[in-house]
Amino acid sequence: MSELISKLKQQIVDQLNLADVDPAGIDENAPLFGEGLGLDSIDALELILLMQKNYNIKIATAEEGQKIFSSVRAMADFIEAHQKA
Amino acid sequence: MKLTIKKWSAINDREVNLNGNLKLVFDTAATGDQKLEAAYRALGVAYPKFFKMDAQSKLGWLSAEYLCEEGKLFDSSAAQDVALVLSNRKSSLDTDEQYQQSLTNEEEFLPSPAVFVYTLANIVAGEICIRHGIKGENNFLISESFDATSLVNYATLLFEEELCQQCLVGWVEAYHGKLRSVFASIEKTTEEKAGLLFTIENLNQVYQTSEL
Repeated sequence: MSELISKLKQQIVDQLNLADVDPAGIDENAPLFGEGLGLDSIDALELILLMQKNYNIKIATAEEGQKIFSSVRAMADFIEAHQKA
Repeated sequence: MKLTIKKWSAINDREVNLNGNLKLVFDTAATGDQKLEAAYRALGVAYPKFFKMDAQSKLGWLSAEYLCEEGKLFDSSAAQDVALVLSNRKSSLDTDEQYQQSLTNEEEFLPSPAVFVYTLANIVAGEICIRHGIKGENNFLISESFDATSLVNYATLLFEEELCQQCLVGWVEAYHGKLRSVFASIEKTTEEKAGLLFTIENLNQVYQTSEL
C-alpha cells in the first residue's frame, strides 16, 4: 500500500503540474480539495483522467468521485480494491 | 484629459525589460517554457497556479507581474475601475494545436481538461484579473501585427466614457516556444506631471524598442 501511495503522490504532482510540491511532503490523509493541496474543479477532472490513464478506472458518478478523491489514501484504497476485483 | 504611459514591461526570447531597463537575460539555449519559469523564479513570488497555465497565460501573467510595485499592479484604483485591453496575432493557437493533437491521438484518447481551458485568447486576461482582483472592462483584440491605433483608441474611449481610471494595454503572444509581450500601464495625468503621453506614436515606439 505504501508503495502505491508514493507512486500516486508523484502521479498527482505530475498530472496537476504542482511544480513546487514535494510528493513526499503530501499528507496522504489530508483532504485534496478545499484545504491541503487546495485543488480546484479542473484538477478534479485531471484526477479522473489520472485514474483512467494509469489504473484503467472510470469514475461513474460525482458522488463516487467525491468519496474517492477525498484524500490520497482514499484513492489508493479504491485502486487496490479495483485491482483485486 | 491627458493619458500617460506610467510604466511598461516587455518580454521577448532574449530578455525581460521594465521601462527600458534590463531586468533579466535568458539563457539562449533554454526553451520557451524554461525562460518563462526563469522569469517567474526571478520574481521571488509564490503563485502555484502559474505552473498550471499555458505558455501565453504565463507570459501575460509575468508581463503584468513585472509592472507591480510592492506586489500591486495599480496603486490607487478600485478593482472595477481598472481595465485591460490586450492583443496578439495568433489568438490561442499554440494551445489550440496542443489540444487538437490530443484529440487525434487514437491510441490514447485522453484530452486534458486543464489544456482545454486555455483554448481561448482572453484566458490570459482572466488570469491577470484573478491575480490582481481586477473587475473592470476587458477585451482581447486579434490583428495581423501590433496595432497601436486600435489599442490607443479603445483604451482612450474607456477613459472618456469613465469606464476606467487605469488601464493595462498590450500585446502578448507565445507560439511554439517563441515569446513576445509588451504591456503598458495607462493612467490619467495632469499637464504638469505628464510623462510619456499615451499616443499611437509613443505606444508604437515602446513596442519597437523592445523588439529583438
